[in-house]
Amino acid sequence: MAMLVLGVTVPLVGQDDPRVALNLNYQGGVRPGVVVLAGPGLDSVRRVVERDLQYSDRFEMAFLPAGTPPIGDSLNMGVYSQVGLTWAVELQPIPGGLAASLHNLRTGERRLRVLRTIDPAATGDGRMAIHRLADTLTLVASGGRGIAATRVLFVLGDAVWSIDSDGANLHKVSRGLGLAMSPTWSPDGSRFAYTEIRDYGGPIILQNLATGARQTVPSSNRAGMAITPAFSPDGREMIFAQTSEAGTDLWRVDIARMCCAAQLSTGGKLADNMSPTYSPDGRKVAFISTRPGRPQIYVMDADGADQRALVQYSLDTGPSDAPDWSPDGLKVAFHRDIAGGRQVMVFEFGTGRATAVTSTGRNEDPRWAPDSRHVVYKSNRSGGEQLWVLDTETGALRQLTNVNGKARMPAWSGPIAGNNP
Amino acid sequence: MTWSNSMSRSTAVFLGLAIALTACGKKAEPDVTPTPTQTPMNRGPNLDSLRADSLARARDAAAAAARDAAAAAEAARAALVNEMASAIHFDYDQFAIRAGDEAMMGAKAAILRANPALRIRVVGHADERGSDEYNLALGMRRAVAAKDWLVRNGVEAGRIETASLGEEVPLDPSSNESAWAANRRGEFEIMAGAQTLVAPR
Repeated sequence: MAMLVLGVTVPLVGQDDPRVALNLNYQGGVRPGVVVLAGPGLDSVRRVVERDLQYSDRFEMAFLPAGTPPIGDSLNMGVYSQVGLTWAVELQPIPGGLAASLHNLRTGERRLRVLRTIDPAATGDGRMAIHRLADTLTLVASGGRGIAATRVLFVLGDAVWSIDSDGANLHKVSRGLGLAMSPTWSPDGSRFAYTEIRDYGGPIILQNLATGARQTVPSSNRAGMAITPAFSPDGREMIFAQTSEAGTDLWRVDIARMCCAAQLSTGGKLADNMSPTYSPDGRKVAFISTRPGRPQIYVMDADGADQRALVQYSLDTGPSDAPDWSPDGLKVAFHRDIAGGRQVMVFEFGTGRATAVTSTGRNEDPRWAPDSRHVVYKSNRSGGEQLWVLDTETGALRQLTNVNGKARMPAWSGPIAGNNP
Repeated sequence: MTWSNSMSRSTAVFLGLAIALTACGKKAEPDVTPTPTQTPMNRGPNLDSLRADSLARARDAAAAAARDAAAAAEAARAALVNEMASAIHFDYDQFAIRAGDEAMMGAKAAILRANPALRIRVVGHADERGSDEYNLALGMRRAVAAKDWLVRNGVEAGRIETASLGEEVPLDPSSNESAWAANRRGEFEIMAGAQTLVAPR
């Protein structure tokens, strides 16, 4: 891991150029080592790419000390392979953008060379082009999916806000007047849905991210609120929970035609059923039910059939809540009250077991990143309530938000598409 | 009470007059046959105006009495409104009406039965410890539990709306046992029919 960084200064002897001295902060580990180097004018882009690769948690990062001058127009690969690095990313300016190359330092092979029109000073959506480049590099160098070109929606105060996966570009996105809760992304990332609580009602609002246009999703005609919306993976349907005097129960609605809300007959009066999450193939839905008394994690077919407990519990198992099915379909994350705290748990279909992946403080509402290994969740581990990102494979943890007020109910996007792929 | 105060004020004025008459009588003591009482009366207030004052005082007293009665009725109405609106509380993650709140609930049911035009909304709230979204469902359970209790005690279901605000509107935003206990509550809002209220018999 690159959490503890040692200074390694390697005086080079017997190489092409004995006068070159390499100054890198690097500690080797089991993951491939990578360094990001840039030509003139690209240091800000270099730092974004470097952080993106670090946040993928798939590499041992070699960091250049501050003030390291830009590289020339050719890379001395032998220098970097000597400290045990596997990859070097080379960013060179070209008119209107940059050329990015990925060098395998072990073989000397250039694995990737892409030209991108990128404004090095880009902010907002412009930075997404840099993040998409980083994800391409991650995929080629590690074989795994990067999560740089993604965003997280969450609730702050009474509104839905958006933040890029690296903590930049924080801004408010919902346009309603009520209290926003439970934001969730449409599968194509063009819209989001959330519950807007106002005058004791709570319709689900669909808002287009680009235009700001809002639609109200048809729900039951019962007095109460439509809460915890979830899009089906094909984006045509939505399952939500309707609160009412007959109990809280799951409903399905056609959002392609904006009609035909129907109860999924999962109980209601005797138990509350809510917080649905689709399997990525759209055939199953995990949810919480209070039919054992306290809420526990259940699963059913997407049409409401074959309901059963998904995660084992006993009489003294704490309340379990907020399930989220991983994009690879292999896991369901949720939170459970354990010994006075609240921990993020991961249930694996392969083993049939759930394991806590946090241990400090109160940790709630985990949501998977598209790589199915990072989760974002709300935690009070730093005192206030902020969002944190945990790599469930390495245990690497970072704080995503640092906002005034309580950040809560996160939702992680899929890859953010753009014109500049 | 105010009526009797007015009475005693009037009495005091008549006594004052009597004393004045006696004083004048003493002044005329040397005469065997005292002059008629016209002279002292001319120096003091005249009886007609005194009578008019007295009538005005009586009218004022009656008006004050009416005001006082209205104030008393308003106080009684406000007491009923307060009794109707007083919050009940719940145990952690529970929605059963506490035994200790049943007297309060009984008083509410009696007021509702005595005032058929009265309509209310019960709003369930939760403390911050449950999950944010789960608490919306829990608050609804609490509101419905209160409604069901009132319906079992003779109140028409159609007069009671229910709603939940989960943990979103705490009475006390701090994070400790007393704040949580205060925040786990059912609130009763009067929607209609509170302009005149009859106390239950």
